[in-house]
Amino acid sequence: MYAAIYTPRARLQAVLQQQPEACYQPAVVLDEAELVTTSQRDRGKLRVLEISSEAEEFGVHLGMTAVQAQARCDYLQLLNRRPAQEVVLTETLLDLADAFTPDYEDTALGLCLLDLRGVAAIEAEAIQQAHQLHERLIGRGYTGYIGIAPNPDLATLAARICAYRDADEGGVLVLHQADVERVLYPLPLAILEPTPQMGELFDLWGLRTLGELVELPRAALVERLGEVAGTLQDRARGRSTRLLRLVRPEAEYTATTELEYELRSTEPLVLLLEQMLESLCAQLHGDYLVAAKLQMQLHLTDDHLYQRVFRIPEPCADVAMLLGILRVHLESYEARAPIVGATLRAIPARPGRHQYELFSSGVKDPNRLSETLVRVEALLGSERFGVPRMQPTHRSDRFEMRPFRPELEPSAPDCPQQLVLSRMPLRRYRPRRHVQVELASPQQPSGSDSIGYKNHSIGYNPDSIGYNRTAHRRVPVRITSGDFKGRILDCSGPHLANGNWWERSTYWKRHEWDIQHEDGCFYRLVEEHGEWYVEAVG
Amino acid sequence: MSNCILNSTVPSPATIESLRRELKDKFADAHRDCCTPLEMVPSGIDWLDRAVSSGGGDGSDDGGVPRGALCEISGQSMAAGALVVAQMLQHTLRERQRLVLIDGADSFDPACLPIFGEAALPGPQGEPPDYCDVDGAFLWARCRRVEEAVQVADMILRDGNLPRTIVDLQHNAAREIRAIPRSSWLRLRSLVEDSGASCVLLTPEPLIACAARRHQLRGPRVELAAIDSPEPFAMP
Repeated sequence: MYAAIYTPRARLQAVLQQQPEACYQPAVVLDEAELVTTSQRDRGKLRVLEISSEAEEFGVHLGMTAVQAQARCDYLQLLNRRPAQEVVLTETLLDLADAFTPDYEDTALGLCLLDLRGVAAIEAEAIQQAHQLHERLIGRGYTGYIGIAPNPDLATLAARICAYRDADEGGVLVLHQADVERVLYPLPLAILEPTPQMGELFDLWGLRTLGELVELPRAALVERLGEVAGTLQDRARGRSTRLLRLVRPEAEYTATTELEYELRSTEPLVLLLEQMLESLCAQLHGDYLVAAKLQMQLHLTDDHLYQRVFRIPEPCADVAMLLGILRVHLESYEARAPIVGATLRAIPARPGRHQYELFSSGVKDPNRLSETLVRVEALLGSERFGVPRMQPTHRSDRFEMRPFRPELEPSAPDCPQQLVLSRMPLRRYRPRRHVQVELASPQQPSGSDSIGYKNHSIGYNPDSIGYNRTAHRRVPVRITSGDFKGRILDCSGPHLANGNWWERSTYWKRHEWDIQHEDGCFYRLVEEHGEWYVEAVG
Repeated sequence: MSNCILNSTVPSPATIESLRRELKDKFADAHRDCCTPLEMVPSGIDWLDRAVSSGGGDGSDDGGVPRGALCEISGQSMAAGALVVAQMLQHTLRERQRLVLIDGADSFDPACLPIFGEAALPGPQGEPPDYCDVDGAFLWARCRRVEEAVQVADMILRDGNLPRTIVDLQHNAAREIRAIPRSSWLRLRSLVEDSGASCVLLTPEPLIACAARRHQLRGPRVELAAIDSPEPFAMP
């Protein structure tokens, strides 16, 4: 046997839970959430989603606009939907169903189907349970009806009939296959809840009752109105049957171990995590799932909790693979105190399927690559491994390192100019090298601009920003210290760069010189606060 | 065998030749390099792609970078080395491939390519900007010593997922590179052969004996006036 819990006018009931006073007057629920504020003019165009029985008596029906509905009834209340309360209603129905059977379906708003075959061996038992269900539903403050029948759709119809007759049978109706013709056929077609268009069409055809619909030849009906009409006719005959889409609580894939002793080295911890992973992966395998993320928590003796989430590049439920990811991380992790417990939680996903494309450069083994990247990062540190991105400043050699993302397919940039070298590439010294520089007047001065002012310096204007020309009449002629000791054959500069002039604490200013050294290389020399540095070589 | 040791006379060339043939037949794998023409992939550097090696003849062993073998490019000119890296990077990004740069002295200058300064893109669902075109295409390992660079190269090549690697040691001292045991380079060669990746080693002078291809950068000296040009000199 199947049972249906049906709460008629579910949206209206959801609103009435918070506005009980609205039940004393005809009311409609409009297709607008409570938090949305619409102008009065636009509100008139909103469609009616639900109507009270009192409003129905005034000729108001579903699908009308608010203005049309108000035209039928002057003192009609226009109510907004309450999505949060609708969720509460659904949860209430599922909660009631869960108390009776583990097999139930969240069919629609205000309708829940229960499979009682496993819990009620005889009909009397099912009826008794239905009455209990009804009492509890009333106790939660909702008006509802229970239908019991040999198939799900018939049980739904039984509950609707019960609502239609308005509690003649104490809120519970049992409908057998043998009673279908007697009970169902005289009922109006509205009990099947056809779409408004189809309901209108049936009306035009002069069809009023289920019996009249059943008499039509099925093949011809489907030919004219589609499979939906055939399904409606099957329901009217009480013969349609289907499998329920059962609601299953979301499974938790968590393993926790609390130790009575302290762990101080990696190997025992890895062994412990391996055991926990075996248990987790067995659960995942059982549900045909894989781990998309793995959350590891380590409980330390000083009550500190170390937590880390690992994204699995190619989700899997393979113990060795997952353990490898944890192990690589643990090799570079130093706990601040001994470990006395661990928790592993897997965030499940469905196994992925992908097909490699002929011209794509997809990664062959994402999990292995991820493990390798973690290893290299552990060796170098995250600030020395990844993808550079220049910071939005004119200051030299300012960039940040971003993580490499192998899941992104390499793509050519939209603008080809982004791949054109902006200048000759240099080799940087990081950190820059401090040097002593000997300055002298240029040998053949022919005016202030002849000492190598270049147009490419960033925002350079000698006559503004307080540039002191006389201070730079002298040019570097020799490096007198360090590895770069030697004569400067030629130089170009100074190129003034500065920034953050609007803030004294972060203001910076520097003079750059490109020099030709006697060793054949050219270097970029920088003067900042009277100190000289070699920044790059070319 | 004991006779050979005791016998101090030099064997005839014919004997040596026959011994070589015998060894070649017996250990074919060890002689693979000299027998099998290398498959070359374009590097995006004109002079390197035009350079035709002696072997081949069927077009499979022409210019470019060998796949499944080490390629050493050596030269003293820092600008030339940096340009090689930049051009290979340009080519890889244009070809929508992935490239790993293992930088032995943390000397790469990302400011030379505007793509590293591009604004981040919004996510597919309109999320806030969080990634760029290069985020999945270029990986830069900023090492400080040659040993570190070789270690990272070992990991990356052993992984086998990233097919193009540049190990840039040009800014490291030659003596530091010489201090690396030969077995380490042989191991890298073996990893490259197994994975079929292409691996370019940039060095200040020819130092990697087991490289299948060795090129030397001999460009004219860069003049100071030319440094604002993106490509200030033509390569040999």
